[in-house]
Amino acid sequence: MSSDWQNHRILMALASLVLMGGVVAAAFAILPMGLGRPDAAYVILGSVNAYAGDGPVFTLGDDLFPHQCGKSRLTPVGALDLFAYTDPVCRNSVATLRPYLLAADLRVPWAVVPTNERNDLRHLAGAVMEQWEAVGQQLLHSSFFEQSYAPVIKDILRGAFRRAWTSPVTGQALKRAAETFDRRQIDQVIEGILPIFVEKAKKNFWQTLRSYTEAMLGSEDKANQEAMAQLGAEVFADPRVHAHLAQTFPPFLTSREVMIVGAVMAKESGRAILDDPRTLPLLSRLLTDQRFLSLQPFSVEAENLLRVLPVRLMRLRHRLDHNPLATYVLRTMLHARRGFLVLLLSPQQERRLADSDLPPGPALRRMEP
Amino acid sequence: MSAVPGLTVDSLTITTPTGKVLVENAKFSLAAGEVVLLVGPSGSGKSTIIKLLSGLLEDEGRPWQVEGALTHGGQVHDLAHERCDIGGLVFQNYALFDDLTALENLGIALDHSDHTDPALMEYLLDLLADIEPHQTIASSSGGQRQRLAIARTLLANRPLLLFDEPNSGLDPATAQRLGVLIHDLCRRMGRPALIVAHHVDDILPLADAVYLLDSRTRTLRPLPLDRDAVDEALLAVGEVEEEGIVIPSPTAVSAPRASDIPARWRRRMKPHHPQRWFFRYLHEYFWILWGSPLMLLYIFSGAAIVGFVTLWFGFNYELLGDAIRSFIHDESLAGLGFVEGYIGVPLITCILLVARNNAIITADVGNRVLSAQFLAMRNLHIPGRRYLTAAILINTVVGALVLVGASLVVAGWTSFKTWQLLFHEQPFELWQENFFHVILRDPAATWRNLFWVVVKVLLSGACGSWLAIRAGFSRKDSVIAVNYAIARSIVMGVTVTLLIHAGIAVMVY
Repeated sequence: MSSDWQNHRILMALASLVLMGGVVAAAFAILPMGLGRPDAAYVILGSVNAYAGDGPVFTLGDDLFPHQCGKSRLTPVGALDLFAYTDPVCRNSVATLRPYLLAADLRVPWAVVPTNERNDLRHLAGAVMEQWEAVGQQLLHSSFFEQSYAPVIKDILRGAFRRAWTSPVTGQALKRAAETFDRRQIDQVIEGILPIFVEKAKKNFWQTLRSYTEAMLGSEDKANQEAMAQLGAEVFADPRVHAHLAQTFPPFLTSREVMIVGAVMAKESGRAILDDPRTLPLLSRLLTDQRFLSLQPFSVEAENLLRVLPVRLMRLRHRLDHNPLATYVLRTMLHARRGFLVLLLSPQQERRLADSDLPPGPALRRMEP
Repeated sequence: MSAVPGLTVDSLTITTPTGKVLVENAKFSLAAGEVVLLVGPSGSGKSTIIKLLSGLLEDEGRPWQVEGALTHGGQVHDLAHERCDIGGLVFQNYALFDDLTALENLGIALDHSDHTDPALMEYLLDLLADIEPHQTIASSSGGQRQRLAIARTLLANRPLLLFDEPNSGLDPATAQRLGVLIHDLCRRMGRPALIVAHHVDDILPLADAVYLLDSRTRTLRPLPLDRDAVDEALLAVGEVEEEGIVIPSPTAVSAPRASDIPARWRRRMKPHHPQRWFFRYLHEYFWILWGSPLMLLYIFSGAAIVGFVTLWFGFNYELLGDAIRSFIHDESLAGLGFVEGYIGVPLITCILLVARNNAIITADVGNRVLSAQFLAMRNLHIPGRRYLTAAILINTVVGALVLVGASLVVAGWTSFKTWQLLFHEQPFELWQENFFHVILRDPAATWRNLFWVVVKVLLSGACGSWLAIRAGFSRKDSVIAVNYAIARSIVMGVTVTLLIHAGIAVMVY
């Protein structure tokens, strides 16, 4: 009996050891052990216009569906190391295919959507836009909108614009934009308008002079203000001013600083609209208004687009599919991060993607890892 | 072995914590080798005198009041102020340590004995002739247990042998053999024995003196060594034997058959350092509390279920559209990895551990209390409470840390396999990078989070087992009391574990 008991104990101890051994083996199998040595190394030729950090490495299948195949590390001096996953296909891809270092841009997943699917989506989106435009036109010209919604919406928009215009962020953006304006361009604009202003002012010289003087002295006389407004309206109604502005303004509007001002204004306005306590109840009232619903704003095309757009963009082939490239890009954009990725392409894939608007990446030179 | 001198108890007065006087101004003496029988009605205080002389009279809230003096070998002990454990006690229910073998029951007493006498072995061998050294207590007969208990008490090498109802529950033949055995031992060793018994027929012919504890007069008075006189006295105080038994002569009692068993005992009965018994209990509780394969399977099953459930239901439910599932894939994996690693698995593992181990600890300690094993340990000068408490606490804390670590691996592995079922076309590293995203992203935060996991596990392990030990050591009068203590221990342990984990999780994350 004693011997049986001893044997029993030994077997039990062995069973425990086997179980704990299994746990140790599982730990070695699943726990991350660091990146180790890179499988391939490149250096960016020219300036490095990307943040240093880590980014995923993707390959494309025969159907251009992306597969995550490794990890890349970009240093501030432009050295790019590629670390392949253990899968032999990944190792081979990292070793042999040409890498493209790309910003996490929506154009990347869009470029690998097959042409026929992109055309379908464009067609569907066009139909939806047309339908929404028609509904919008009907809505804007409807009497119920003009009576029940337009006044409140105008008030909300006015308030939002005022708030955006007076916000410190906009002020800073404007200040930065003003500091970067080219003095000669400003002079050019003023020089074109000034003769027309003088011409209009001369027509009623004494009235103009009086209005200016009283305005400088701080008068709030309504008649004077109206006279000034009348002068301004006449100047800006002149076709010569239109022609001059059309010639001199575009350089202002397309400058980076002015675009930032526009973006800041749009963002601040949007925030102010959302912050307005009247916005959401108004929207809710409109969307449930039978008069609005009778315009059939949600067409079959719109429903189809909503249904297929995420699936087509993600290119999900079955219910539990996963597109690591599309989700990485979308999440990077949503988090407002600057990320990058490396796309490994074979010569055939390069040819297939030649016309698909894949954004350009910097030239890379292979180094010894 | 030389005979020890006799002893005398003088002017003994015992008052219970409730104020009841059991005996007043009593006096008795025992000469070397003398067997003295103490009789009296139930509740008269016979066992109290035994406990007093074995140092086991415990205060329960209010103190016992004892007066009197014990004289032994020229030394006088003031019983009012000194705890006197001059007597080695053989308990009524034997109080053998049933987790130890026969050999270990004697070995632990030998190793904790103040001084060992080589001559004792010869007396022991007579008692153990039919008991295998590695025999378990559960497989021993009533007679064998009785003799093991006597042998264990002899190893304590005390000047006085005390027997509390030694013939209770034994069949007449075994009881008679026992009486002869005690008589023979006392004579050969030259030590006195005081026997408390209800049924005196088996022992009376072998006794040298009989004392009656009269609960009416609260006195202790000698009786003639005559069965009729004893019966008459017991009848007068309300206690009488039901029937007479024919007493055999000592020579008629059959001794255990000779075999090679004594040689085995002789080889194995060697004194060792007492500290080894702490390691013995450490090993025992290691096996019980976290080392056995069944325990590992139980804990790993819980971890595997957590790993499966979090991944499966995290991704595979209809509320998520297909595109959303893919879109949130990386962040979800990172979130699930975080929740599993820092909250879910430690919590579930600790709950499973505490629930299971608290039941075992309280049951184990509670049964030892109920069967007077801790009293026996104290009588044998074995620091049993310390050994067990330390062994349990060390094992629960270390075991919790090891098992939570292993459970994290098991849950992680199960999560990976579940993820592979769902996303079978994706590479392993995609799971690894995202599941361990929090760890990989910020090692400093990982160490901080792991520190809090360790704190949670240590606290819940220590608090859970401390509550279990407390529940186990509380007073036990019946099996029902043990059962209630087990239930209380589980509820309190799990509640405390939940509070610790929830509190730290809310505070830290």
